[in-house]
Amino acid sequence: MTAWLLERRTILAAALFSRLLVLGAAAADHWLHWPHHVSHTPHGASTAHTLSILSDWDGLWYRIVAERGYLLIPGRQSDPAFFPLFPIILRGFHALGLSYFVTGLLLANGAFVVGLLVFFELGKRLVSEEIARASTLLAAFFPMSFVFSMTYPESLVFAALALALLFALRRQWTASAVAAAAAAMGRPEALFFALPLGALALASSRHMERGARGRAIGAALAPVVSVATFPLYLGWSLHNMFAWSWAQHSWGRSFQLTGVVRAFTALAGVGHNPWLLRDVGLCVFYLVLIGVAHRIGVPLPWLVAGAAIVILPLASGTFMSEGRFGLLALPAYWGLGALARRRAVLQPVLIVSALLLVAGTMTIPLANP
Amino acid sequence: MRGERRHRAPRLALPTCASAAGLGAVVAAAAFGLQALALPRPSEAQLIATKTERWLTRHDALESVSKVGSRTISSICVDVSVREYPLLPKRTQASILVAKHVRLVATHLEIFRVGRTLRDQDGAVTTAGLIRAGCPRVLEFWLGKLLDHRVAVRERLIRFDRHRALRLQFGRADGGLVLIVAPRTFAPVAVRLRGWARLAPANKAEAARSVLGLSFVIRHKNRKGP
Repeated sequence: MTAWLLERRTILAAALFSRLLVLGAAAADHWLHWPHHVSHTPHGASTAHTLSILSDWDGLWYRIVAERGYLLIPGRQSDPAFFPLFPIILRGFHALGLSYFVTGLLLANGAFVVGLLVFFELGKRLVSEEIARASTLLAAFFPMSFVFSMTYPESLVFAALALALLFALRRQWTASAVAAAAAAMGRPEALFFALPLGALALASSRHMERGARGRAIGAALAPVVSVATFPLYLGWSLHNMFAWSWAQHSWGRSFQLTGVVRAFTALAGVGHNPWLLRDVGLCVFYLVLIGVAHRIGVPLPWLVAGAAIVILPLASGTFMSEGRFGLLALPAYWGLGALARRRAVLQPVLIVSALLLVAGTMTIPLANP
Repeated sequence: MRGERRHRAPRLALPTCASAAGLGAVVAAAAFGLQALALPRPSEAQLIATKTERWLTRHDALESVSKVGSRTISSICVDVSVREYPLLPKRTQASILVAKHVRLVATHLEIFRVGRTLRDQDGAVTTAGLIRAGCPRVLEFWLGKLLDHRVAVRERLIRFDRHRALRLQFGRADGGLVLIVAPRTFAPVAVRLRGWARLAPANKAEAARSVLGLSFVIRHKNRKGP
């Protein structure tokens, strides 16, 4: 184990250093009382903690679900819009005596460090080791990766997705199914990775016995099944299977065929929310990177899953949070790694990314990531 | 030979399908079970209150008869969009309450008497009571706030006007909001804030007539959500 970690010390060091940067920037925000007069603390959440900005925005809603469970309140923003994995784990650790805040931070940051190690292993099996290493380092310092340190489920889902795909490549189908199901309980976008899992199952099926073939198909179906249990649970708990979709509506998101057009027309009002430009820019950037990943030979189903993660949220009528959603488009990191794989390019890109990461962290109170 | 082949394909597929379905079923059961066991469920009374909240979001006018001290005040309240009104931002969502001697414009935070430029100070308690009880948007706001904070709700089946009704008590038994709702439609039929007020959905034509001629009203706000 020690030898295994020693081999990956660069990745581990990058993962830990990037998280230190995020935590340090969050602490600096608190100590400098910056930005002034900005507070997003509904339901009496505390701002007293040094790192409290990392539990801001949706983090508060995940804590509410963990504390009180779901309740759809028509006509106002309510919590069934948030998937259940993260609150369930928060609640589990809280029962052991840890606060929701500490649990959330440990969970998010710990999962991201593990996720990066797994992502590196996954990358080595898909692209060259050089690109896999560069991609992992860039993922650690990616400007939006401060989200992976917030009390959000993204880091858990990132790790679970990477694990599910790695297990599938190793033909460990039951483990892959469990990891894929966990990812889909964290964020609905994980559903799209049923595509590469299905493609892997199909490709391996000729060389497998019947039981293993069945488990491979089961692993591909696992994220779909797992996502489907959430509306079923809401139907049982709130007597409303559509509670997620209704709650999304109250958050200003309604999935329609004309959604993409509405997302573009909404850009006319970008003056009211200039942060939207960050999301638009990142959306385009992710798609370009996925295009680059295609050129280095990342298989098509993986690219389609990555592109779907970036494009389909636009059907809800807004570009908002595209920067965060795209963090789970794994092929984009391989595209980025391919562009910056040479040492002369990688180092300056890492430095600029790290600076942007600090800036992104410090502006958390200004804009919902 | 052909016949054999025809029979072989399903036999080959069956273990594969069974294995895939088995794994899928285990994943589904585990995922559902985890949610059901780990997360707290809202009470039946809270769910009824959310249905009343939904009823309120789908209605933009209410008639109410309130008891204020010794007086009985009948009013109609309509949710509208306000074009321009002193001290309010443009295009504010507001409620207009029309009673015999008073016309009030209310947002979540402020109440104005129509024709005066100052906030209503004199009858603040009375007018706030009228507004909160009689305006769908304002009542919806208060109810939503209580639900959002997961205030304990108790429900009881009672007889109200010789009909079966549900009594919802929010928070303490000796105070707080009490709602009487129809058991099938979950429409609020009475509300107790300070005193009791009886409620009924307003006639659309009458609601429109009550805001007719008020120059600052943009339109009737149709808020039918999902």
